Amino acid sequence: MLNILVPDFRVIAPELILVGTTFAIILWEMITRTRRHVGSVLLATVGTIIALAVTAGLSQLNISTFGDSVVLDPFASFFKMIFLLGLLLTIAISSRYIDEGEVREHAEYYALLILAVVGMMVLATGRELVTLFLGLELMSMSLYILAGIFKTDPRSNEASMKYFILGSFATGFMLFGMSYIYGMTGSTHLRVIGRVISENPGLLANKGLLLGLFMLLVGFAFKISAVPFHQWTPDVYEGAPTSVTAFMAAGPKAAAFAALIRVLMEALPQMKGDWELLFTILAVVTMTLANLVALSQDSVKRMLAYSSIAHVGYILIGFVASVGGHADRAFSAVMFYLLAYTFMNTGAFAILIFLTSRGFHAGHPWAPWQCSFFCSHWRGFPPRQVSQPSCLYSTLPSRGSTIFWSSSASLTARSPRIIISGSSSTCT
Amino acid sequence: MQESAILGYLPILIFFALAVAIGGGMVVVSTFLGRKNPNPEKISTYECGMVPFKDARQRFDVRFYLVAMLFILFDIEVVFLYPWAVLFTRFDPVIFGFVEMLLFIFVLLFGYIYVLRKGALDWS
Repeated sequence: MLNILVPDFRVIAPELILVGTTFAIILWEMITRTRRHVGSVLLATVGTIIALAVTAGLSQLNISTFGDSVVLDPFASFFKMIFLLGLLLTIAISSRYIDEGEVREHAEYYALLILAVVGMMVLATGRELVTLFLGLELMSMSLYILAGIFKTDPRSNEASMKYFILGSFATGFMLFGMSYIYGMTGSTHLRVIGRVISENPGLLANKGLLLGLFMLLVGFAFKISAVPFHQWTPDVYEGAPTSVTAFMAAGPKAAAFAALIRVLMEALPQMKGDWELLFTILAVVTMTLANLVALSQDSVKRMLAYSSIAHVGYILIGFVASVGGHADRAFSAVMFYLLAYTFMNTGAFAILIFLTSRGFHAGHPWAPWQCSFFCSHWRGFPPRQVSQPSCLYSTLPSRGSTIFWSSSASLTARSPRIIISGSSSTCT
Repeated sequence: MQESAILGYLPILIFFALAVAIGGGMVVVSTFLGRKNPNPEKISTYECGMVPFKDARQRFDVRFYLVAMLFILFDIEVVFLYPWAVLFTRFDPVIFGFVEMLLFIFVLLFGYIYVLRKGALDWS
């Protein structure tokens, strides 16, 4: 019988700091019983910055603990920093908006934002299926409540309810897939699963394992809102408070991508042939449909929702490209894309919050310019030209047709986007 | 191998039999020994709360669910104490296991105080 040793707490240090911050925020509100948001905002900001500093300080480590179920490597650190930066931006755009929305539960609002980020961090660091599931649930539960934080607004309630029911359903699919993978390989540890599959190539022909992979991907595809599983996105994004929408569009997607990359690369790299086809279909369908449907939206929030779906399609090209033997380059492109996307997307929603309270006409000459800047990322203006083509298309020769037709679909799918963002600039 | 694997489940069977015996025994004993003095309120399915059988298309009082949910929450958390107590001597510095459980209880207590402060248990 093994003894239970003290785990290496450095692996989850930022998470512990954030959990402590939520306690402090709620305690502060319980003691002072204030309606003012200043205390919560201040505590949340300070906690996030400390967590960011700690994450940056530990970013060179490569250690795992809790029986190899949680790992801290540069990959996880990078994603943690994306989440924390997204959280900082969200706190920055939230304070006035939530205050004007007459949300009395401000302590809960900030505590839930932070807890959602803790869930995302667990998703980025988890190396075991049950741990990943735990992170996913912590993230999702917090988001379900946040979507409905405007308690008197029926549309906010509807968004919360819809998100909760559909999200629980997707979670069920994911657990089902996990149970099949566990049943076929006898472990929930990603690296053990990978070893078992490579030692028993016969498993690859097994329909049970394929079903497990498929169900797992269904669950992930829902969380990243890839196209056949995207229907919740516009409704939830539209109904939720705009600051929450900005938060939901960036961090949680990046977290689901982080977990997906880790599961595919550590547990199921042997099944490349299977998931390459699935991702090709997902990417092409997502890019095409999302961009076309975005054209006919008359609500900015819905259009931004479809835009975020389209981005998922572009990101999924990275998964197709990773099969060609340059997995590290493809995934570093995906990671950079997610970082840029977090900034540009939160910026777009921040402008939206600004405009809904003040409007274009109120003598803010810079607002339209900023709007055009943040919208320009639809055209692939600053970051995408750097990240996507150079890193993803460089793998093009090594892979034959699939990557070619998915990337050419991305180019054609982008053209309606150019028209839209062009017209939105002229409107201003 | 096969037999011993099944024999490993024997305690569960015994547990099952004991549970049925105790639960059933209580019903049987109170049927024979208990005093019967029924009135309409007493023979209703639940003596308090909502009327369980009528049209479902109406508003339910959220307080019942709140209390039930909080009960389940705090009830389930206590289950974690059992494996901890069984494995207590195997924590390498024993003090680590002790502090860890103290933290866990602290989180529970914090939640309880939060529930109290928010008035979730006020029934009026």
